[in-house]
Amino acid sequence: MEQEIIQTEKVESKENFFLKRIQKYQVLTFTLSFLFLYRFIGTLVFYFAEKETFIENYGLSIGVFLIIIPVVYFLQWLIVIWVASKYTQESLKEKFYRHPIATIILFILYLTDLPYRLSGSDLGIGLFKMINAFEIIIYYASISFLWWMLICWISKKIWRKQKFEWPWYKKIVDKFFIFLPPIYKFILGLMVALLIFLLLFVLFVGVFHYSGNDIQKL
Amino acid sequence: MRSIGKIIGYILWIGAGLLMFVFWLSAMSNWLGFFGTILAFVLSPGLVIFPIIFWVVEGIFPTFYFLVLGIGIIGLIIAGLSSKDN
Repeated sequence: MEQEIIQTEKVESKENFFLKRIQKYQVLTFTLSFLFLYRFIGTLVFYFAEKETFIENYGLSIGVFLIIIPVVYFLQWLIVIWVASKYTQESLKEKFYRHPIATIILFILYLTDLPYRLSGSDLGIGLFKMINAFEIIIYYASISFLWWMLICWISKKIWRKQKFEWPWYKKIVDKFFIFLPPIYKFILGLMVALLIFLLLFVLFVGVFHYSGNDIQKL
Repeated sequence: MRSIGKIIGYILWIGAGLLMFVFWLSAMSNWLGFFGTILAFVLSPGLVIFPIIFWVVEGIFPTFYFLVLGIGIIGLIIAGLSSKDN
């Protein structure tokens, strides 16, 4: 009887693996889902409208694209969730406290290199420019975070005890942890809202055959 | 997640409201000049009255006004659903 219960629990926990992760890391899942849908649907629309997409740039066929993009985004989600599961908010804060030099240097490098990353990419125009820039900022931040983790790990192996401890640095880290989540949510929400606005407007224009005569009268 | 839903919903609702106000302001200032601009800030367009007046005066149904109103209502539904279980 006990074995049966354990087996059922194991099956349930396996079944709920993705569901649990989605529920636990809702903002991360939402971010990657939004970027995936934006990239996937956007590229399909551009492809069928016979405009230039990155499919032609990389010499891919539409079939390969249909498989690769979901797989790539799914793998990214798994990696991000795995990294996020390693820390709680408090343990991450402690890590930031412990490695001030690495944090400051990598943050400065991130900020100084970001404009070059953005200027080196074809961002498009208008709202698409905003979303593409957001995607680059997020990906570059994720990669920088992985580098930071590696540097912190090496630093911990070399210096067992914490060398520097600055009150002003702790205050900045605390402020970051207070203000960054709501700011991030607002920026993400703003972009999703603008995209929904645009899509709904295009949909309504198509459905009601709106020609813009009333606006021209003004 | 719910907070993002609320942000999305309210941005859609407020954005739609602003666009509707710009439409109302443009129409009033077009019809009555500077006095119309002041009146636009003082008066409220009303859900049905302003579109009917616009339709009668300009001879064109104000589709834009209702398109944006529809988007705003969708935003309000999203915000409502997101704050349901709070």
